[in-house]
Amino acid sequence: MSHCIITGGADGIGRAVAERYARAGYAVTLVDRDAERGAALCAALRAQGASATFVAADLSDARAIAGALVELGQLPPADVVVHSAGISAVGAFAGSALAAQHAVLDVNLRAPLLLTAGLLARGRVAPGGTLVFIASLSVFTGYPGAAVYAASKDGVAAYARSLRVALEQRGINVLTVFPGPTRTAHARRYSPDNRREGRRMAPERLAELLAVAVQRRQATLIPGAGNRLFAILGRLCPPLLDHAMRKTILEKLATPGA
Amino acid sequence: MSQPTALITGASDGIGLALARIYLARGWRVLPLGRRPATELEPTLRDNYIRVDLAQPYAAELVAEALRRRGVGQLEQLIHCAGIGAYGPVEAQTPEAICALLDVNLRAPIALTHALLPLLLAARGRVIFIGSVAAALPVPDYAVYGATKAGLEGFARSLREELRGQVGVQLIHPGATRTGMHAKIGAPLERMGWSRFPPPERVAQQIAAAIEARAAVATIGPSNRLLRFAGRYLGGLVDRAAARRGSAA
Repeated sequence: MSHCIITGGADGIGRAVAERYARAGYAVTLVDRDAERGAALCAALRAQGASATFVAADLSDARAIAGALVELGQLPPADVVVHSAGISAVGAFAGSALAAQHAVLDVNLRAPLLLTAGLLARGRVAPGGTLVFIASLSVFTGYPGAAVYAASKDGVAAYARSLRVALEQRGINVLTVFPGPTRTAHARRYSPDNRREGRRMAPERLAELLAVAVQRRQATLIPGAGNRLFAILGRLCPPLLDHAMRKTILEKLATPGA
Repeated sequence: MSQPTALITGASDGIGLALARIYLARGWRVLPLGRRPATELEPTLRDNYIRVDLAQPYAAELVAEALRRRGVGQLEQLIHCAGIGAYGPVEAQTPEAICALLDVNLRAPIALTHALLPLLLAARGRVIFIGSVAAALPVPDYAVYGATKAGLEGFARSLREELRGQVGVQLIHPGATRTGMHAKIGAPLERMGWSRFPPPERVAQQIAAAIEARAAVATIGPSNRLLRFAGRYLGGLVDRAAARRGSAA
């Protein structure tokens, strides 16, 4: 039986990915800090006949990651690992609480780096397997109002690119996904304006595109035509997109009550 | 005009030290920051030296406090030069090594910028991040290092928009430089052609010029500019070339 590990698997994109792979007959292992939600999802997946394991770990804590790696080391090697756990902290950097910014770096960047090194060192990535990193469309644009989030996502994308070259000889693929706005609790929490939430991509759709990209052994995935256009504009004309991001995010965040 | 002040991290060695000397020669008040004991520094740099290990969790607060004690009320430039490297396969890196790289190369510049922003705002100054050409390239033997430098790029790009009209944000990418970093991390000096790398003094001159030109993003040297362009716009081609180079080595 194939095995898929998903961090942040209890909710959002991670949850949709877990459900997608469980339906495809994979044994799924969820790594998440939310024990209640994680256990509930595992129970639901088992009720549908899937094999599901839950590993509770707060990925902002390096020691908790070491503990999770011990548990993951007992399980079969993973055919697919999806680093989906992510948090943000929005608002002008100058007035922000630094501890929250550090947590963003810890969860979004340090955790996937530590987990990847640990899983590889323990031989827990199956030959022919795929490591999936969830970056962000912000890599192509910048993200005023979430500068440290942008740092974490640029870092993840660069790491994944180097890793792909490093692991090619071993037949392990590395896929980087650059999602735009997705209809998740994460987006609702951090966006200045949720009135047009319906326009965000459904996480189930993203999970489907991700699974197809894994199958095709793609290097990158920018899901959705609108997001791809955004990415191209960001690369070709950065000032335009910087300005747009400033108008749509930063200035609204700065307005009390908006 | 009163004497402008620059705080330079990583100023006890390499590019940071060379930059500190350039700024001193130009008549700036330089606050050099480093890990080495002050006694190892040349006398001109010793007076204002701040000895701190940026891997420490409260390094930024300590630096801000040191500036308060010295009565530094504004800062024209904050130059983040301190950086550590790491060489080798991803799975051979210990969690401690990964954490140290992230702490010094990414977390410390972010924390220090946060702590010193009031001083930069007071001077309508500039914050300058020293990145690396590695940020835009696949670097299988330096994967975490490259990630930290790319992280600086994402941070700088976003912060520049936030602080537009108040504090300038610059990002300067040097290429490989003949510093002590490569030997420290066990990189194969001979195979890399370390002895042909430009010396830190020359690279620092070029960085100082780029800072003066107020470039938002600058890459040092024509071959590094070419590399960065290829890394950004010819993605797949560059990755395949890097893979071939890796397997041939």
